[in-house]
Amino acid sequence: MPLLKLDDHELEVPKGTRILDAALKVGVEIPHYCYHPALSIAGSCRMCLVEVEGMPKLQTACSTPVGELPPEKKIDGRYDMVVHTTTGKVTAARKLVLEFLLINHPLDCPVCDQAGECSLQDYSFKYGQAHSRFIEDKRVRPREELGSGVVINHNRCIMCTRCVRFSREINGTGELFVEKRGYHSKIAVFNGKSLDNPLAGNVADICPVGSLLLKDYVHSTRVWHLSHTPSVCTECTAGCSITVDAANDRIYRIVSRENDQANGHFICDAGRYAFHAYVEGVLTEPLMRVKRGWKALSWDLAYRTVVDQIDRHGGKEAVRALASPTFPNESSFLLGQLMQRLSDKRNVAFILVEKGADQTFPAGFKISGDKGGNRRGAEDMISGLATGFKSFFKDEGGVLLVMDADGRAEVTADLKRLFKGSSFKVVLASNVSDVTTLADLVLPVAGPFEREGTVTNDQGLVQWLQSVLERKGLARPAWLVLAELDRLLTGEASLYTCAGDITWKINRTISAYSQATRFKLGSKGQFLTGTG
Amino acid sequence: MNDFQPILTIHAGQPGSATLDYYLAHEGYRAARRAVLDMNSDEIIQMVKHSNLQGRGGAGFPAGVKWSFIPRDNKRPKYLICNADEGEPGTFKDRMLITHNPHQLIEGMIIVSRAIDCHLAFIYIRGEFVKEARLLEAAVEECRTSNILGKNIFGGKYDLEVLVYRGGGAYICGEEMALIESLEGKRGWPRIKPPFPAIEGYLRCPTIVNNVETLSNLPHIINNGAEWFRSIGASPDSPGPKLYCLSGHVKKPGVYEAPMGTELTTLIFNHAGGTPEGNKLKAVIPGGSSAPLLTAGEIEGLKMDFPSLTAAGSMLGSGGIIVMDETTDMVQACYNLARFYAHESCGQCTPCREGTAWMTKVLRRFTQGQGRREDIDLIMDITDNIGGLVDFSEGSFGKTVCPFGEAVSWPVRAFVDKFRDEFEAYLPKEAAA
Repeated sequence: MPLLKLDDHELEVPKGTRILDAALKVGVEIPHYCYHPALSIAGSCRMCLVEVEGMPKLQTACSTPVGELPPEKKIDGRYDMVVHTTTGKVTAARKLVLEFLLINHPLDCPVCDQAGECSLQDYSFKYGQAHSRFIEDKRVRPREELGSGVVINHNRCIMCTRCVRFSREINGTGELFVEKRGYHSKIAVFNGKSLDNPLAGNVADICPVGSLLLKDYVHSTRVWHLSHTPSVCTECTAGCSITVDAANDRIYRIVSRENDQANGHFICDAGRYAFHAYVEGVLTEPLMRVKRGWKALSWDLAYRTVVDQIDRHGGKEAVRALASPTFPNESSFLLGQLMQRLSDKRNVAFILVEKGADQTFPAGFKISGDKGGNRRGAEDMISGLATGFKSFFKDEGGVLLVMDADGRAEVTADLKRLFKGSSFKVVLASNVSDVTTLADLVLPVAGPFEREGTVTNDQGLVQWLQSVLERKGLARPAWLVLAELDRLLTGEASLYTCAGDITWKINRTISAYSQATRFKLGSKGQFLTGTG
Repeated sequence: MNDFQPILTIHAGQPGSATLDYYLAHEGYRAARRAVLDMNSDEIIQMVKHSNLQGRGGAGFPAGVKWSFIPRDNKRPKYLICNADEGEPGTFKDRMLITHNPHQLIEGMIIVSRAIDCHLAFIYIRGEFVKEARLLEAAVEECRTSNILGKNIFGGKYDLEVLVYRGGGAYICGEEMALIESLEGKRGWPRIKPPFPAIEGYLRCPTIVNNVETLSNLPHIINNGAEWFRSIGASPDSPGPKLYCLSGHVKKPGVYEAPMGTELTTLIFNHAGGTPEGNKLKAVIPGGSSAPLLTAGEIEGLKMDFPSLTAAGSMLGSGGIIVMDETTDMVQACYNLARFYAHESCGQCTPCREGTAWMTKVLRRFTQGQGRREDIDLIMDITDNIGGLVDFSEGSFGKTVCPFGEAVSWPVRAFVDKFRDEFEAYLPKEAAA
């Protein structure tokens, strides 16, 4: 393999590796705009110019491959390529490119949403100059809506064309293009079209400056007020890695988190905007159905009611449960254990969740049609216990214990019949849904962004779901509710003080999960043994 | 040199010179027939290498050497593209070659195609050349019906099709990579080199792009031999007949064919009749508008071939000679040139997109009497930042994707550098003081 000397670093890289990729690997910063690891090389921003020994012109690090020299021609007798990133020529070139990029830029950082996470700001600070020699009129264009909730501020655009390449290469719809020429070039959507695809929001993520913005987020906060929590999206079984940006117990936006084991660099708009759905109808206290509406209960009373109702309606043998494919593994695992202890019958089934066709994009990005985000994990936790949904209708009566599917449950005629045929219906849910309206007792549990635990995607990748928000009111984690019920019904003290305790138990109980420990998951997750 | 007989343009102006019958009656397609039936690829390439034919599009790269870059072991189809996107201001020779002798060009294309084993060749012609495109299409059609193009041409075993493709009208599409993108139906944005077209060009297949004039020379080299070609002109290193386009302040503007290495003053004063009204010569752009201009003092005894002009700090380029006499306002001329380049910048890469427009805005301010003293250095600095310093001994240090950056920087720099006093004269009184 060719030996590359990059400033003070020496590294062997496969022939054809681009200088910039090598630099990223060893942590040498080469500033860049148009380069994006998931997109084709454009080489047009000219920010990554570096000095390569033996080449008279500065070269773009993003496009220049490391070649191999014959032994007698090696530089200093050893190297196949020697690259300098900090010489006078290079720093001068960076300074001038930044000057060019800023001459028409409005310099409106105080009101720009990108401020604080803007490569233009960062590189100007680090490599640019404090003054401008440009005294002419700036190029000014009005803001435009492109579609799918994306707006463009042309004045801040640096024409890196990441968005154009994204729309062509990643989602393949190619709505975006460069209109006009030269100084008048601008990003636009083809005549009469709009940016209309399920991945559209990504263009704002990959925009290195404050040009492409999400209407949803624009002017809502300053980025430095946000906490960035790494987590997993559970809106479908693809299980994309995400970063949830929140402040003051409110989510402002969700952005993609790079994970080559899962989603790569992008997420879909359904996942991006999903958090909005969970702010409505939040359940904050246990609710008991009474003659006219609902009555709030304390948790003690709520638990006692469940125990009483089980005694009254056929006992433990008659308890049936619906597990949810949207909850983390820990809840499903405890539900499975509880049901196992209550009777030998296979009295658990899965609540039905919408299942459509998968959507795969040209570059391989997939949106799963299965909206039961943790289906694989839930099935792993309850496998051997679960029975088909239909076989539930053989025994009528008894208490029905239901975990809601975060508003994604399909309320079919079968489900309604099951509810009708059960004597007492307990639903664990975070928000009011079609399922909670069928309940006799609603137990408020942590919502999708308040939960902790592991989730398993359809490829067998286990990732840690991190809670972002506080639980509202009296709501408790679902695993805690199940552990408490277990203790009250079986008389055995609970072993668990946090979700991680259950994760540990899962590692010890289910062999495929033996390696998926909290520690080993890290930020990128861990494949189940025998997969990946 | 007075006994030089035109070679490329000898039939220009003859009635019917664009027809196949006329061309065949004047030994037309003899060279192509020989290349297809009696010569192999190596023989053709060796012959052209030996002739020292340099590309006539501007860069002057040896044609035979370029062809030899085509990888032999590559199984993909090879393509030849004739660059007829003549757009360089001050250049109008290719148009003349096409108008008066399209078959000479097609014959040249057959020879190169044979040399690089290409079976589909394109003529990418500038969009504005409507008449010329029709003429070429008619000529290609004549060849098809006469077994000069098509299957088994000249009764041999070699197939070749030629397609005429009209460009969309952008200067940058004369740059070979932008041309290839445009031919593929995409936006005319130059690609990053390497890979060079000979490795990955049209449809990522090995491709040769040659200028009309380069191709038009080939039949004569095959017919008369490499030695004959090397004997034409002042130096066997840069030989051959050359078309010079004279425009600007000359009495008889037009295309003149003369040997390589003809003195610039001879071309201006003998061929084109000198400056009107005997005005004093001020400056000359010797090779199309991207070539740095030379002052009257610098052109004394200057030979018009590739090495001499490089040594003089300019370039032969396309051979477009723009003559400026003493009545020329150099600030206005410079602004005019800069405006053209700002208009034609494709906008792909940062320095050229932003720099050309900035420079033009500063120059416009200058022409309006709003210049500042520091603007003169600013213009020089912007040109540096786009196209790099012009020091031919060290090479250029352009910072752009394609040579457009140099093409705009060099001439503007030369204007400001050599006529700084005229720029200073444009300063408002208080600034000049």
